[in-house]
Amino acid sequence: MDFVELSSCVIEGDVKGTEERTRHALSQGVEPLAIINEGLMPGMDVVGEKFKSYEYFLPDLLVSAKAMKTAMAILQPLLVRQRVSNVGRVAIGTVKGDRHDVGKNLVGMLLEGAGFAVVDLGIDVEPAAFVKAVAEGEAQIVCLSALLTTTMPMMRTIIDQLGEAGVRGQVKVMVGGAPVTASYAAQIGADGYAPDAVSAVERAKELLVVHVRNQ
Amino acid sequence: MAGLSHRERVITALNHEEPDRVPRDLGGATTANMNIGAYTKLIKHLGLDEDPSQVRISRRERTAALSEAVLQRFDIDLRPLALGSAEKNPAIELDENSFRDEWGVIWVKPEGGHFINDLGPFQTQEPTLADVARYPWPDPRDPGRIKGLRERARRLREETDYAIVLGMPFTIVRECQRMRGFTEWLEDLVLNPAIAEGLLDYTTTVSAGIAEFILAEVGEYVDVVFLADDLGFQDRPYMRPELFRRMVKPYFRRLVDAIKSKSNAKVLLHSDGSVYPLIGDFIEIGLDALNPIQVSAKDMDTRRLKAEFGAHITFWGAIDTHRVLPMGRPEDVREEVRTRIRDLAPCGGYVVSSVHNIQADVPPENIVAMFDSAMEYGRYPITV
Repeated sequence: MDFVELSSCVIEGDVKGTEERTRHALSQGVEPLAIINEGLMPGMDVVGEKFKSYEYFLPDLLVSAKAMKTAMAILQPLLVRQRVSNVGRVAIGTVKGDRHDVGKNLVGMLLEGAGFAVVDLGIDVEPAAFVKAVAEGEAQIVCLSALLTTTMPMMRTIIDQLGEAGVRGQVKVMVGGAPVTASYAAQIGADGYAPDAVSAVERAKELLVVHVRNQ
Repeated sequence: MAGLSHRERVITALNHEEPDRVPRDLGGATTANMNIGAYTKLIKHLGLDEDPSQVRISRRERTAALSEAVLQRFDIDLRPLALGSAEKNPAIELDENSFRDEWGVIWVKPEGGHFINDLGPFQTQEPTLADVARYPWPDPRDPGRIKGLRERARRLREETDYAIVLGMPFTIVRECQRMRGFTEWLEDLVLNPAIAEGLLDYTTTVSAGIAEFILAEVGEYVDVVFLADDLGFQDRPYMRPELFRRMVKPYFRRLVDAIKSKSNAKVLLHSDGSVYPLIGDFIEIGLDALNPIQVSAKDMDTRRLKAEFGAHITFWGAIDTHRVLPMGRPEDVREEVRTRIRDLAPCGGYVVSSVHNIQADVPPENIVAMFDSAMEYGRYPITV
């Protein structure tokens, strides 16, 4: 099966085309995982590259992610049935006191597109919710988002509480948001930082390799 | 240049000539304000006899109404002209932490935080053009907005020598995003451009209509009209410049034209983020000044901006609120001010202010350092 056309639909943000070709592939007996790994994800990789090189802007990224998400909605139930495991488990949320969600939503979408299982805890999230997600084995990576200098300190609080709960070593913490910097991330003891959604996916993959190696 | 009034100082700078010193803004532009937490600490630090519990606070941003004592301590050159509230579709309180505004957008406040728009009337379902046309848009000629306005403007003009800033309540892209959803409207630009444009058309009609209605009353008294929109992220504009030019720019041109048809005021656009690729377009449609110059964003290097655009647009802001003001020492703040004045002030065309509202995490010493060093370094000719 030639997946180039499917990848192109994702790259071009052709939501309908992506859906049609996904259904067509399934009807031809193509495995859902193959559709994802050889059609959808390579398409999103190209989208990521175009975003990094400033060829694509946010509308393009959103539309390609929408195409991917439409296909994933069709394929996800089939994967569960086949008990195929995912790349990694992520819990993501905007910290307490902060209701901004655009960046967080985009990171969540792209992580799902890259094969992660993502639990979106939402906005204005209590630190305890992040700790719970880790303690219950739902998250190997926790992604924290904040848009305000006044809510950023919650990131340190969450990291501290993960320590107090005795689960800090079980999880990698990644932080992001407009006022967040790599040096702030290091200062507060985070494991990773990303300046935008596309590099967040790359960073998550790197962190996961380290995480799995250390378990 | 002896004896310039505050107003003359601002006008001179906006006309790209050098006044006696760089003008300073605090509370003129709506986003160059101060959160009540920062203000409480400041008045204590300055030893002022003011009761923080009596200070009027703006509902959404929790910014403080600044006293004349504070504004004069920092010799601020501008004063805001306050509009009245709309009478026809006033905001409706839903509960203590949420309300529906004049446009039908729902706003929510998390505990300890400030209000943010949560859900727009066209957000849960994609609207048709008929839905957009039928919608009860705000009335541009709502009399509530101009109640007492002319008298307030006249008094500001005749009884003070400050430059007068009028903050327009609404703009264009921001309103589209609030009505339709932030990501939804950006997706529309690609997937459903007719709807994206339909919304642009209506938000511009409302905003331009309001501008004309208000400025018919007070256009002769206003020195600066402030438009607060948002077109940029940390590292790039929301949309590719080509798309901006094709689809969005004509609406901004319409709004600027509406303002200039009723007033000789300079038009100041606020847009956060990395908007460097759009500045040429802003100049081309007649914008006179750009705020806030988010120096922490990509390509917003003040030296480069001045070199490329400084002759044609005034820069308003540039004192970093992501790192320097909240986390720096007073010496760091002084150095920040010195750097921005060095880069932006020569030949006029610069008004110094914080990049965004001074938040509660900014120590009062830093606020003092900012304005005092702006006074010290801002004397023309610039020698720093």
